[in-house]
Amino acid sequence: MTRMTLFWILIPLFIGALFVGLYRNLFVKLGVILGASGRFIPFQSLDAAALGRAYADEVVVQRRIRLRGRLPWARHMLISWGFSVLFVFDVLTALLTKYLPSEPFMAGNGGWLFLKFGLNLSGMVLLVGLVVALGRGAKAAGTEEARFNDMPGAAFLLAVVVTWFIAVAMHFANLRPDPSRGWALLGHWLGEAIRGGAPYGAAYSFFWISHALLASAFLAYLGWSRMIHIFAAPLGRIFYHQPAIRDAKVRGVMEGLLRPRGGRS
Amino acid sequence: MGQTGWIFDINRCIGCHACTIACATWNGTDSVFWRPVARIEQGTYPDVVIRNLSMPCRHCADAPCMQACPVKARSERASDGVVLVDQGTCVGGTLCFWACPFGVPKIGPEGKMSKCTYCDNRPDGLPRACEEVCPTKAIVSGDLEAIEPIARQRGAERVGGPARPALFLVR
Repeated sequence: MTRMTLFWILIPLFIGALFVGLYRNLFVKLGVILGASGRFIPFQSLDAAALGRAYADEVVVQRRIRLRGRLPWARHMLISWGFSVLFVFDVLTALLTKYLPSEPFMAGNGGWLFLKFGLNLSGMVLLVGLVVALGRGAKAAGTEEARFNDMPGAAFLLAVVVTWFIAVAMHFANLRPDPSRGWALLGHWLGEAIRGGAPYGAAYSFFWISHALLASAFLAYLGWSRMIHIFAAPLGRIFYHQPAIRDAKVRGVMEGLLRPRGGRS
Repeated sequence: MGQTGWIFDINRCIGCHACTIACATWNGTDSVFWRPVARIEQGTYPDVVIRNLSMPCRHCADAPCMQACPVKARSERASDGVVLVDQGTCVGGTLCFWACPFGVPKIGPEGKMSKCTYCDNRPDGLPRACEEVCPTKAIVSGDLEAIEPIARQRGAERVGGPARPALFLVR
């Protein structure tokens, strides 16, 4: 079995594990909620404006984390926004390079520079957030605060990001110098720094495949770890900010409890 | 010790919120109330009554909040059946709130879910803070088997449902 065969077997397995994890740990849970309390939740009373405000408050500016302190808030903002924007740019790059000629993107055509810039800037933002989180986590080891830190998740994501930057740098180092690659920021700077050792053949393949496998494994990990909060927390919280629905649920419970036994339906 | 739980007497409750404040004070929960008192008006004019219902965690034997938590942050203490939240594991998804038949779990200002811990930090022998402070003795806590005679004496019924809440209610 060649390395690439293994690669093409593992990638779908990891992606499948993500969907199984989401099904088991989120969608089944939503089923429990609807089964236990669905009849008390008046979804028709949904307030769209409140939904938007809650999204801005809980997801965009993450006010609750700000209440824990500036540093936890700053590192969570760096990680969550770095990851989200990087993910969007990743998907965009994959689609554009698949359905449009990839050469301009790879070789540095002016029209594609936004992809390099977006990928690298968001990657750098994520990298800074992860380094701060891991440094802070190491400092807090053995204390009460350590319970709240997701060190395995942060270390896993750091491995994904670091292998990506190394692969990008080796890729650039293997190509002829091009000033437009300056938009690739850290990828470009690292590439220039290691240009002396080029060309990178086996090492580049190793880091590229490592990054791809780690990134896919991380997607699988999302569904089976505390990282599932990426999906669960925004969903639950924007509904939590619906006073009419919350009050109706409590009222429904009270009316049920106050009803004499014989009068129960 | 078996399953612990409550007796709540709606007819005795005067809606003074002393239990709410005692709970928040003892447990240091600030503005997050683990034992709010809900108020509901029943009937039609002129036959109208206001009823108060203290709404703590019922420490259900088959707690839906435990089943709904995506990160298994909830557990049931084997010794007394008290349902607890591990704040370190909790990601604040609020799914427990939506799953709870009583809408009990609350999200704190810092984004973690919390709820009644059955005053697990009270010295042995002391009643729960809410029970101790209730001026009309509308709240009784303890082992369900031990408090069942009091419940019968007061005409309370065990609240039913698939979650099997640990609550005797005097309606």
